[in-house]
Amino acid sequence: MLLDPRSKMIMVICISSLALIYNTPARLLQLLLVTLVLLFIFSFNLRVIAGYLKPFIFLMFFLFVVQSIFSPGDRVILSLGPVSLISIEGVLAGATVVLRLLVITAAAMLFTTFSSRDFILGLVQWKVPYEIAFMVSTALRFLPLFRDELKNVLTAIQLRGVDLKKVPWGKKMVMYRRLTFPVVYRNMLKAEQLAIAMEARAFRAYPQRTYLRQLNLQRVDYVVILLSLLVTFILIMRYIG
Amino acid sequence: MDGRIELIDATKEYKHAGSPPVSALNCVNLSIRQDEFVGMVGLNASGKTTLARLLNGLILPSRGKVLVNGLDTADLAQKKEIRRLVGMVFQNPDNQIINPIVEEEVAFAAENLNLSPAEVRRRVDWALEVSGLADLRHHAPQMLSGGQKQRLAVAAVLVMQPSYLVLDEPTSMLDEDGRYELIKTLQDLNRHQRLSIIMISHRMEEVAPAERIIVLHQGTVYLDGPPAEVFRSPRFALAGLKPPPIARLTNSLLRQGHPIDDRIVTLEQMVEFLCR
Amino acid sequence: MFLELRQVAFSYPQKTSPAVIGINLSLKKSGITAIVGPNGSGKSTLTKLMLGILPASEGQIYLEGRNITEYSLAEVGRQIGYVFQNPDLQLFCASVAEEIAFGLVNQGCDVATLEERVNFYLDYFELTAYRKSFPLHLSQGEKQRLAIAAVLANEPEFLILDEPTNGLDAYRKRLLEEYLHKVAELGRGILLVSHDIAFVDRMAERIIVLANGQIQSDSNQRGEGYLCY
Repeated sequence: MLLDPRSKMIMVICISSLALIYNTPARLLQLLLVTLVLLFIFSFNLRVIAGYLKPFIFLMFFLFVVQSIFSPGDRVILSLGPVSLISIEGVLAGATVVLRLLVITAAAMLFTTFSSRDFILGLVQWKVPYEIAFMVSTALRFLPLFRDELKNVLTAIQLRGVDLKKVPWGKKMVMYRRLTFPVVYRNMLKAEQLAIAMEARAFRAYPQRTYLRQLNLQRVDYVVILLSLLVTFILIMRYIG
Repeated sequence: MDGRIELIDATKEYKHAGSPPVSALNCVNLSIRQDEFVGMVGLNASGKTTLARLLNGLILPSRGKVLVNGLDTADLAQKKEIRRLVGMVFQNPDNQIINPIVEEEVAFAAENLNLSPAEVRRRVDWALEVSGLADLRHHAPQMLSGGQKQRLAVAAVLVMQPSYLVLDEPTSMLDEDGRYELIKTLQDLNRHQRLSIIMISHRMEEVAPAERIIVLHQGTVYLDGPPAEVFRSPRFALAGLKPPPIARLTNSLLRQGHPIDDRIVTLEQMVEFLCR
Repeated sequence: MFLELRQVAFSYPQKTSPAVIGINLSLKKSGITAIVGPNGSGKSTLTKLMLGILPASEGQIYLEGRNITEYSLAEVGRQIGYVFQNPDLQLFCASVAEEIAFGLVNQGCDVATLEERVNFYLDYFELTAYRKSFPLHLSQGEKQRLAIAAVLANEPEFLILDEPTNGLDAYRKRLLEEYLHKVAELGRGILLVSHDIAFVDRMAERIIVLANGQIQSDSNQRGEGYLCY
């Protein structure tokens, strides 16, 4: 079952829309389970999914705590004197935010199942201007490299004698900011070199461009797209109504 | 075809705020024929890279002219044609390769030229063949060795069917095997496809097989001639360069009166001579 | 023995064959050693294992007698200075002087010693003229010198350089040789990891050849030719 990348894109958009509209942890949990089932169908196993979501754990925890504290509610769990810190409503609100993030991130994993070239091709055949599709796709391709570089700079900082575990929070933020210097600089240079290389290969030299391959929407694609849109529409209507 | 790239009184200056303009290239006059294999050498700030970028119009001279087969690089209307005629390959293959499949990477430039799909396919097949990458056409570029990646970069440019191929330090990130592969591919391209190769390098052994070596020093053409002559010239050392080992061996033997062919500068040539 | 590797092996998660295997190596604190081998022979993997950036799949690694797993990266950095293949990645301060001072500042060094050390290294590596410059704007060779200076300012005993000759022309390579000799004069041990045999031949007293993830020869043991690769 080889789906056109555009079908997958539609699915991701549908799931994300539902994630943004649903507002209770219960609903979002159901959505998350459906997303996971979808990922299993596309041959993702739990280990890969967990590995992909691992970097977001810290962010999710942070969001959970912040949201819980700043969402007022009546049924107080924890209070400091007269000030109520955390209520049940707050915890639920925190869970909502985290689950929403989980759903969207997991759904986005579908983007890793097709090549950047097919992605561009698909968008272009739907009349998205080539340059934009190209830019988005190239950016997506270079993101993991970006991440590797950040890791390298972090290693360099530590090897220079900075024990990150012993650095207090405030200073840690300053330290992370330092990371950006070399990474941004290098990537700007890289982008420039890439642009030059592209220019040397006649990029945008002509208003029209040939495409060696054609992506054709198969029947299964139409089915998937229609089904996704329909189901999403129905679910949204029921939820709002 | 009797084409050539000509630099006429080409000067390139860079202006930095608060200081006098720095001249990267100074009144350079040069002519390169459409089937020459030229090696361009010089120390780091000698102007090599600037000159390379002038050859296909990536940068324009501050004064003077650069003509490619008679077309002026300053003429915007000719930009497309000049870019097609003069292909460029850069130092770092990772900053040139953008597609996840070899075949598609090669097709990129041909597609940009808006050729018919059949023509694109034909050129891709040809480019892969002459770069020795036909077996790897469905592979992912990240899985290739450094030498293979650079050959891919060459193939990706060949597909435009240029008349000249300029390579800016293409071997500096490659190990010995990679360098050997790339240079052999370039030699084949020069001999069999009649493609002019202009290769910038800082390794003298690499430019020794060229038919002509241009030495740049402080923004001017310091030496220009066949390798053996250039390596033997006293000005060569003045430019801060040392001849490759085989050339030094030849010169040493000549000085001691041995009857050796004075044009020998590469290992292959020496072996051939000794085996006779 | 400064650094000892015993039966060390490592495989990357997605690869079937090990990157390095059966590595037995002992390095002293002084002198210039080199590890040579073609690209893909496992040189950078070996370096990362030595620094504790990667955990060994098999075998043990000892730094100054202690298992490397007991060290934090910061502690390793105080014993071994590492110069990346691309120095850009390890320059993250706003000025050259700040870059050199960085490690010391983090260790809570007093201002007087700080001044003295920074000036010393600026002078030793001929970077005084650039003390206020933005590190990333320097030339490749200068950045490399700065990386060496910044890493040495922490006064580690040992320095590891990964492919230091990449992108350098003959003149800059000669300069690098001089600077490395200066480092040796300061009493630090040096490990060069490179595929540039000519450079290594001139510089190193001990040459270890790596191929296919295994040590093929070690000139320490016999002084035999390494031209077999």
